[in-house]
Amino acid sequence: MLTGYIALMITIILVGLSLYLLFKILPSISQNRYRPWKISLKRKDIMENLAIENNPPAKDDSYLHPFESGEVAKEYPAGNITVQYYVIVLLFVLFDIDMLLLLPWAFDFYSLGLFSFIETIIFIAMPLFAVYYAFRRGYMRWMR
Amino acid sequence: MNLLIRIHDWFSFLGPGVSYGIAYLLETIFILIFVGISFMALIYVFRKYMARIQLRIGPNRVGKYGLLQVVADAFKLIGKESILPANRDDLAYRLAPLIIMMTTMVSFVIIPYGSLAYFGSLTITHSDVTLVLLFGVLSLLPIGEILAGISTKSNYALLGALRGVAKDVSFEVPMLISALAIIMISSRSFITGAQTYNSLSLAGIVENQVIPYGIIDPLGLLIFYISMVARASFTPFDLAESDSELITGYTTEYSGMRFGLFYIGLFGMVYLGSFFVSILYLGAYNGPASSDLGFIYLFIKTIILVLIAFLAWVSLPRIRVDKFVNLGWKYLLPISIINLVYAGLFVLYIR
Repeated sequence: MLTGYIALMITIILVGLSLYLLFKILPSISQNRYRPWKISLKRKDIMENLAIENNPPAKDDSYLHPFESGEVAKEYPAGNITVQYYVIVLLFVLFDIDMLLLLPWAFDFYSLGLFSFIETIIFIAMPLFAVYYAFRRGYMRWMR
Repeated sequence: MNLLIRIHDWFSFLGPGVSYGIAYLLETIFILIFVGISFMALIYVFRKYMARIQLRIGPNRVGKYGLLQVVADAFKLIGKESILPANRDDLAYRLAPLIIMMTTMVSFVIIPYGSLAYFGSLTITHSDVTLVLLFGVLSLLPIGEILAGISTKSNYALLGALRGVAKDVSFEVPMLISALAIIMISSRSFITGAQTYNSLSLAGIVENQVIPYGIIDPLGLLIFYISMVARASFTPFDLAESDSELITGYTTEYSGMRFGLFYIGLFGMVYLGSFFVSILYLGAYNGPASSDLGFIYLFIKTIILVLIAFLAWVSLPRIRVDKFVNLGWKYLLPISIINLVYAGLFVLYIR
């Protein structure tokens, strides 16, 4: 039965290998402003030196900062980040585990019959109260 | 007959061990090449389609009708410089696009593709739990988004990642409940009326699907399709990378080929989701002469769904941030639970 997964393993290996090769050869073929700027006076090289590819407009380190539409970037302070919808994330964990528990039930649904169906409806309705609570307390707005 | 046996036949003069090894390798490469070519075709079709709707011509210079534009873009992206920000978290920064790309590719291998005339069945992952496996692989995508968002100290990237997580959190639950309804409907055979034991695998669901489940369960189709488009972060729901507020969201700090991998992930998700919807709801490769043309049926259904998603992209304005979490939890979740109850009653009484 394990032979069915061989293609999956081969895919992981192949895509991983190709991505590794891609990023291995990428610095050698792409434009790179860390490459030392060579000065030569041959006619062919003069045009190359003047070209904007080898002579990028930003000579300082400003391109290494986070992009902020030309302003000087203000980085947010290190530390914890407020996730304003953390209650929703808790609800998500609740429902996800709920669904995980219900998968075997759905698989055997027809043979388990009506009684387990009613039980399951009650089982799903309980976390729905949590959703209602979160909605009434306003946790579903983006900014509370 | 399937693709593995067919390739095994080609190389059978090498002995069984070697030929099976080559067959496993070649069938995987076959599917990956198919997926890659269809990505390029999709991006070309999307650009032409968008141009036609906006009364433009679209790409028409590179190659005949601009067909080679996508190839030229790929080479351009490879040739561009990858700027690595100074204050990055290096491992997370480099890992994020790889996770997105890897997840997209792996999930395309899981899908059952039906059968094509000479090659036989194109399905290459044979498992009893492919539905659960696919959901498991898809749940790795948000990890890539989060890593991309928090690995650089960029405000826009952080906001994009926060919104992306909110999107995934809000729309995965209705998607899962609709899939649960499909497993329930598929747990009873339409022909014999008895219990079936293959409703957790995608191929099994297609096998049980004598009538397309979209006809039985149209509400579930609607919910699943909306959630799928939302999880692919297509335009009515592209809050994670809304380019008029956040620059491109969590991909702001990426450039060159790393950005290209994110772009492939975006188109790959909607393509994969369309495959998913047409397998669960639209009867996939069932139809007349399905042992020869099954793959064609599946492909046509998928392309129609992708075109509908493109139409939504070009015609609908972006949903507002504060209405966004509401849509998932306040509307889609109760409707999907009603749909679950309906599916249960249908299986038990109406059949």
